[in-house]
Amino acid sequence: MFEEVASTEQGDLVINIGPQHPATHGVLHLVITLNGETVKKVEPHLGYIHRSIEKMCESLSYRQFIYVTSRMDYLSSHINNHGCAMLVEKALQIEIPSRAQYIRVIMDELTRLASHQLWWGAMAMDIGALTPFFLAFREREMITDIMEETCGARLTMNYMVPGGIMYDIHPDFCKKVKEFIKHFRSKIDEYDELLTGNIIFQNRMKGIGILSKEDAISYGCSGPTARASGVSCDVRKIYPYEIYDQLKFDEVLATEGDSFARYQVRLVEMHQSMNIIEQLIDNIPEGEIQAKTKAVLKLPKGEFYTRIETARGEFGIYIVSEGGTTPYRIKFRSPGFSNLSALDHIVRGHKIGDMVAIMGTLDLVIPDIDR
Amino acid sequence: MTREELQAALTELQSSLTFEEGGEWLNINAPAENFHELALKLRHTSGLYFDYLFCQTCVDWKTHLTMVYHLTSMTHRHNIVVKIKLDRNNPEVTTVCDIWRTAEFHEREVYELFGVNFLNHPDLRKLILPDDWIGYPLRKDYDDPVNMIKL
Amino acid sequence: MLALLKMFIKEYIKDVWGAISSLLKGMKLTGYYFMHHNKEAITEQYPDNRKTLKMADRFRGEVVMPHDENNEHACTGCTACELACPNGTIKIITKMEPTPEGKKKKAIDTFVYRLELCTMCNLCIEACPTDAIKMDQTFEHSVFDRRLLTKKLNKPESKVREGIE
Repeated sequence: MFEEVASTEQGDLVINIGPQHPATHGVLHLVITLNGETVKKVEPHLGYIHRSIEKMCESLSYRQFIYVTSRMDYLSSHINNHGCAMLVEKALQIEIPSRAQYIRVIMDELTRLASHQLWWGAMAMDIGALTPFFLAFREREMITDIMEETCGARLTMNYMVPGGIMYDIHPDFCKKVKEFIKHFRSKIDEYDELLTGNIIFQNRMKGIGILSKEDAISYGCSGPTARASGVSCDVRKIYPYEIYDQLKFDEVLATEGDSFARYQVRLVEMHQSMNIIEQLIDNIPEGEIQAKTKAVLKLPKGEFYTRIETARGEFGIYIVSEGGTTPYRIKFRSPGFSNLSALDHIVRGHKIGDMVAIMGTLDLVIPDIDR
Repeated sequence: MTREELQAALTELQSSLTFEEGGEWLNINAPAENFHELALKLRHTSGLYFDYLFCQTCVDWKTHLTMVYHLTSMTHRHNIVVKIKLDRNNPEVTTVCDIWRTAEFHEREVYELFGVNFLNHPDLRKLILPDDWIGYPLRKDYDDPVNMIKL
Repeated sequence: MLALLKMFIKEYIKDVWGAISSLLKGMKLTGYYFMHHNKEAITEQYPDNRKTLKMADRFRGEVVMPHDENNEHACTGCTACELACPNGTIKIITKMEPTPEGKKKKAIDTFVYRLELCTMCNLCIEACPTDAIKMDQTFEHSVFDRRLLTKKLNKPESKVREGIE
């Protein structure tokens, strides 16, 4: 059943990539067995940024533990916070006002856009194109400015609280978001012009790093990585939360499962995110932004699980509560951890240069894997 | 399948299963013996077809450990939670990473943080912690006076 | 046979032409930005632009306690912020102060704020019932001595504003 564990033969070369290496996007350590230039085996060594957030959360109250999760997947920190707030609301059966729901969804999609933009630039840099990185950061800057104005921080927002959002949106928020969407719609065509059609890029992406549908499911992949292999796994569609069931958007699916499919899924997802924001931005209802909650939150005894679609895939929070003010046990199911486990399977037999490109399309964020 | 249908189908599969009341999804308590056979049945029985293991973890209850498997079916869209009670002094359970490949990493993580020994695992080594680490950090009685800061 | 060869050559030339044109397309875009770099540049000349640089109103830089012209603040020493803080950043030392009626009342002695532990999560400001503390927009926090990061937020000789309970 297993792929034969590749044994090191004479003439094989074992090299280390990382922990400090620009291609691994963080402190990921890969031990690679090479035969010539062909990858025989990849062995990830994790833990260089392990902070034991799960243990830490066991001593934090249900208001406090939300802020820690933005340190996990720092590119979709908003969505992580949202998931945690949703879990507390689900356990305590708090109805949150519709204004807060709308703002939450807009913020989620803006975060997804920003995350995919950064991925686009970083992935292009992995395969050796430097210009896209600067172009992507130029547009991403607009989103971080919007975030900074409304949430007060650029990366670790901590804007979600159990029961709603921390404070109301900035008066300029709607205007700036509309401006950004208009601007980005013209700029995303440049992305296509610069990279998607490029012959060198296509040759390095098409047919490389194929992940079949069965393997994607078996490896627990989620998010754009799995959807590029044809697995329908968008939590926003299958288990809709907040107001996603009232929105019109498509789940982006591809069937090829290669690097180029993963690339295109994310690019089309950016269009979908913009569609979602356009549907909502003019219709934010007036009203409260926070439901009334007690000062000290106590979850009832039991077990709770919530999932949410981050930019990288399905983020799950599992809490075992003993009825106190702090969780008894908390487990974060991070999308990057499962996606990384498929890396060894994908890259076997490819050249080492392709391995870096494949890792770029998996969109790994290391603090999310290590937790 | 609804909760009741799932419960009926699972009882048919293995009569020694007990079910928990409440919770969002159906919670099943399974014995640690022959768990691999049960897992194979869960994965391959048509109608159940739990092909996606989306969360695998362990909970330390001070008297015993509980392995928790969250399973879903990508075709039927139903979820179950399988729990296995383990002895705290000698926790052992058969691996499921030949059924769900994602379990390979999850089990390595549980192995080092809780000390659960997964039988037949192809590559049971420490994944996150350094190789010479002593103790299981996520157990409730773990104490590290040097590195742990208590507020 | 000849037809096949012809088709092959045709395809080949088409491929080469497509490849070159795709490269030129990208080069055109790069060339455009090369010529129009003044219009599109978003780079900020920090620290030369310190005088004109303005952070957003809600930007979370550090916790401060505003004092008015009579050297009075609004902190009653209720320790709500201390309890709300996830990192133990805030420590409030209270003292007993005699009131005009001769009774003793709890009041704040020192508000210790440790910037090096703070993650700017805003939970203390949310928790404060009297709006005594707020987030400042400063962001240049580096110092040469770590001890300077432990700050005393209430000014010396300051006291609670009248009427705040």
